Amino acid sequence: MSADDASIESIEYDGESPGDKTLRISFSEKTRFDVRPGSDNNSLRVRVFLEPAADSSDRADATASTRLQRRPAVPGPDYVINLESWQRPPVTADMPRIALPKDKRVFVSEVEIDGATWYRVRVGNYGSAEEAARALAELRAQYPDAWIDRADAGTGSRTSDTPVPVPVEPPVPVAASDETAAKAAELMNDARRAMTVGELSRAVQIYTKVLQMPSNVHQPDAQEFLALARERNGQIAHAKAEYQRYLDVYPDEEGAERVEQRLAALLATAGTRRSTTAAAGGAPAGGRNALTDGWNIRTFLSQYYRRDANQVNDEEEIVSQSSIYSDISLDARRRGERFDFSARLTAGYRSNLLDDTRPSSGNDLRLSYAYADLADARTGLRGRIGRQTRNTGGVLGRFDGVNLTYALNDRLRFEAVAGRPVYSTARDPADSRVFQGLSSTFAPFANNLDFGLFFIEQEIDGLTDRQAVGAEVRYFGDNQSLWSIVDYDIEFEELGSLFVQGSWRLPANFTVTGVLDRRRSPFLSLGNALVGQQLESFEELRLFFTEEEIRQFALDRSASTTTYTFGVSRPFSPKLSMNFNASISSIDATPESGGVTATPDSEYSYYSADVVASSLFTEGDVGILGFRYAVSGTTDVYSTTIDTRFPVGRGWRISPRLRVDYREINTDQSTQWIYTPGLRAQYRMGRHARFELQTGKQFSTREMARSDQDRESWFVYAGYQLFY
Amino acid sequence: MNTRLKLSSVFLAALLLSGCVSTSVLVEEKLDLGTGVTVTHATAPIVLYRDNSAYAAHARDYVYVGPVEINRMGDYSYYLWLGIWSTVSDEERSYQRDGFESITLFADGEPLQLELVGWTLESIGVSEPVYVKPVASAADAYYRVTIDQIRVIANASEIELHAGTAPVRVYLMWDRQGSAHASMREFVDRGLFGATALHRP
Repeated sequence: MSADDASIESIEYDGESPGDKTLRISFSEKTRFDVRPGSDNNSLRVRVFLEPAADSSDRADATASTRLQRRPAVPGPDYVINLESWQRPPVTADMPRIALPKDKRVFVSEVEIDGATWYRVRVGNYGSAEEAARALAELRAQYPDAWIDRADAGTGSRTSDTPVPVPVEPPVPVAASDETAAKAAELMNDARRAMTVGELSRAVQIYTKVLQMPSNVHQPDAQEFLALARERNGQIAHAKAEYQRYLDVYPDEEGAERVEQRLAALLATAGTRRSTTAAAGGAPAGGRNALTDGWNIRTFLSQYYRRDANQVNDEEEIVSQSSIYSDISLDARRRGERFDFSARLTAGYRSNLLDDTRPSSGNDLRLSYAYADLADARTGLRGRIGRQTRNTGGVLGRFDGVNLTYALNDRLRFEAVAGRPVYSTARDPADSRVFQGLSSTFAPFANNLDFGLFFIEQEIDGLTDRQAVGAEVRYFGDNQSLWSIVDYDIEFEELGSLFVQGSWRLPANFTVTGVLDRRRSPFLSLGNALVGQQLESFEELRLFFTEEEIRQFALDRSASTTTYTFGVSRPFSPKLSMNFNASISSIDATPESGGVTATPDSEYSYYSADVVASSLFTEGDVGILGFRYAVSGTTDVYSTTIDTRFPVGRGWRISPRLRVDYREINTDQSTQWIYTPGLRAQYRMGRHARFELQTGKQFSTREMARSDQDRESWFVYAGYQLFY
Repeated sequence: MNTRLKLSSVFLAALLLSGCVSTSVLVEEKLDLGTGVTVTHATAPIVLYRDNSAYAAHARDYVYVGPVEINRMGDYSYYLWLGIWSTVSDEERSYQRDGFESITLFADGEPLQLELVGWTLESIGVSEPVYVKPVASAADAYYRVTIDQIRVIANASEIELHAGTAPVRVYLMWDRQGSAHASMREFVDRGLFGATALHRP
């Protein structure tokens, strides 16, 4: 007799309960057995008395008689289907008469909701949500109100499960309709072709689709090939989970042994052991909950060439830029059950191909990221040290330093940060500023509300450069969203910045949006006192001015800017949408002080409308027609933009575009027409390479009182990106 | 502050209040009346950002990322919605969408290659917007994904997006976003199947 014939459903050991450690063997059907201690007092012997099933003994292999029924991966199948719920204990007549696979059972669980006891008639367990969904699709005909629940949901269906005698009919294979089977076969052929030509992502999508169909004979193969496609696609964590899912859902299929070998090979390759928490059908993502992976190293390389040239009135063409930009990024990661380590190095180099001796036009080496990061899943601690970037907690972008995080749970985190701001990735951080800060993010009131609070202090040459407190709130509802960030400098007793963005969906699919952005520009800090000064360092500034004077200069140089933006958008059909926007910006005047001249206030506003339409000429294309009117103190600009995008084949995207501007220049009463045609093409080659070419030319004619001025300029960007 | 600005402030305050008084759940399911399909989506998208300091010191480009499930009579399709916008007025209107035809989303370092299916509702077969646009000028982009890919994103502690090639534009996670992650996990766990398990007898 094979273990399969013994109908052992699971063998579980619960060692978590003090004083109540239990070994539990579950059978999928009524079984006679006895239990005896082993002769050596180190073992337990369970004798199972079953009539061998005639149809299964033939196919039991030689090893099956000694093989343990494979234990469901801990914490076990996660999903059940709730068929019906009663407010009285169900009797036998209430039990469903349905055909179930051998590894599924009907059971009753109790749950108390609002003081009332409900008895749930359920089927389970299912190793994955997808498997449960497929089963649900078949059960819906008999049980239209059936629904899926997690077996470990708060109602504790697993712990309170009460198996009951159920008139389960002998298992019969669920026959798919001819139509379903034919469609599945067609998809399998498509997927096979995709695999053959290396379109692995497409194959993954097709196999997934087959698995989402009603139960059919192709699904075991689809599951296996889905895993294989992911493996070939380099998605090892996914592949492992998909192989594991195959073993959970189709343990008796002829491919089970082969799949087991492949999974073992993957695990061996990773040089790791299989975790006791390896999730059968569980999320392949995240990794922490699934498997212990080895090093994962990724490299990104991109290069592009950029050339800008212009010509005025038939004079000689002047090339203003001819450079090659090269960027490389190395990411290394090692994930364990407890620790997650990652490191990143991102650097770029600009090669100036022009014979130019200006100081600003030389070659540049840029270092954007150089950090190591370690996270401890057990304690919730995480630390990152090195060059990094952050825009929350009062930190203003890139810095060299350390960031420590303690996550109490998903909803509450505390962070501490200290470092030196990096204002340029191309130069050594000669600035003497250092900062330290504390922050917290939490979501105490509602599911879709996040709050953040911070305190930050920054010093420059021993003086307080900025000392700020601030808050952030994010809210996303079904019909509204709100995001607000406020930064108040307690040293200057001035508002540093206020950003509020809100959107609201109204009836008839109108969406109105608004943004308020008020800030000091540059961002309020004592170091701003250097702006406009002939001195080279803050240290020199301190030699000539008192601290109070420097503080006043900093305020004087930090102009208040305010921008209000409003918009309305609405789709008029699935292929056509429109949006209207209006924006008003103002910059306050700054006074003369410290030898720096005053600046007048200014205002800028624009009004725009865009129409977006798809499938104009071919399926998948899109055309965007935009109008814009912008007005400032010196110029009124009317613009029209036509932007079209066409998919060509599977890899190409072509985007011809045209922009026409008409300018009225108030300072000399001249007018100017500007025509800018352009073309952008992108080609994706497989998974690891992309190419892009963008070129455009601008023709402009300016009609002035005494003469006209014609100008032409053109540009080209061409580059590629590789990652592996 | 002139009259226009004062009126604008009042309008924004109204928007703010309307947001604060609403309550919502993590996953929304609705019937698309124009097409008859059932649409499920997370209410809180994940926010990615990119400093656009070449344009202005305070300029930032944002990308919102949210999952969408389309249920056509039991035939499920999954998409990612991207809401692409910027805090600054970009006069070059085409620039906003450039590079988003083919993107790479890194979820805890795992690269997900995503191909655009379209910029309009037609591409996912619905007639009404799924997510609320952050700003009216935001570009909507839709990418076909699998439920496993959504699961990868939902469970990732770090998400990064690469768009474009010349140059590559890199968007980072704004912050750890408890609500967005909870919303996306809820989508994966329960939103897949229409009827959810919560609060049912």
